Amino acid sequence: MAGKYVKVIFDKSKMAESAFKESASKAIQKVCLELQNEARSRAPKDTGALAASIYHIIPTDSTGDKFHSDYSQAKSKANSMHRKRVKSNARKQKKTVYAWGIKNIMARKRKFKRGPNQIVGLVAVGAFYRNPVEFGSKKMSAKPFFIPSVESKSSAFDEYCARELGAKLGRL
Amino acid sequence: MSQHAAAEQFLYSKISTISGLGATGGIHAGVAPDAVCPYVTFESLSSLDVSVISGHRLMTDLLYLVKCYTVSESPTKGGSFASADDMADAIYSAIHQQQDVSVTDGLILSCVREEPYSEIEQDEGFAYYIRGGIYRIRVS
Repeated sequence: MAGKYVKVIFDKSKMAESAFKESASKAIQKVCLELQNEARSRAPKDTGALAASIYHIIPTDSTGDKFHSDYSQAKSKANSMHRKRVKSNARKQKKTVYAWGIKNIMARKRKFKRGPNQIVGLVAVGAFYRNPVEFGSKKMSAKPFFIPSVESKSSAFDEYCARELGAKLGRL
Repeated sequence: MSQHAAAEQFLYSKISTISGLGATGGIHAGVAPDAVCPYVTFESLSSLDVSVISGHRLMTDLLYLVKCYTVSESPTKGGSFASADDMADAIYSAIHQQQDVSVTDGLILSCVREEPYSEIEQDEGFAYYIRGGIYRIRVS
């Protein structure tokens, strides 16, 4: 057999690349949803509008080109909770509520920026009064809910990504 | 022993010894609605225990927000961030990258600024200029 051999080459780099993108995309989807739920559960509740105003934008495919956003859902829920409170307060004080009195509490939807070959997810708080609640103000102490949620979920992405990627690479 | 107490002792001891800080309204842990500007506040934003599998706590990871308040001269006059900036810079120099500092309630392993903080608040016509930072403090 000297000098005779069979050379078989399997180039799996493309498959590994797509496996990595797919697992990163799945991991981001999971982390964004978990972070959103965690922040919603930690948010201080009076009317519940602050918690309802937390939304996410996540990629729904492996390339990260298609997105899912629940901003409009969060907007209508948070606004309806806020309006209910404004109307009930007005009823108690026997005042008329004018249309301008019922504010839209949501800030504009955050722009979703993505560089080439990046898979990005976003979790944001829509209510305009998020900063005084999170960081406090001159007259009110801080009631942080978003930063502790981020802190508690900071290692989740690595864990999910490693698990997904390990499972995918094992199949190659 | 409280890790929050240790972190607050560290912050207070370091900030209170800065000469020329200009915080005539004092240094306060938490909100200080009646304090006269300029003054400094610090508040906890997050705390996490770092433990090994046996449950033994290695350290506690704390996030603290340090704010320096200054105010405009009158409701009709605007102000600036200048003196709030000076205070925030002096605090940054005093506590950023501090390591192995012993306080009554524990040992400060490290203190690092993770983010600068900036804000303008409006109250009764006055503009409050706020500068500071979010510091990660690791307490043993």
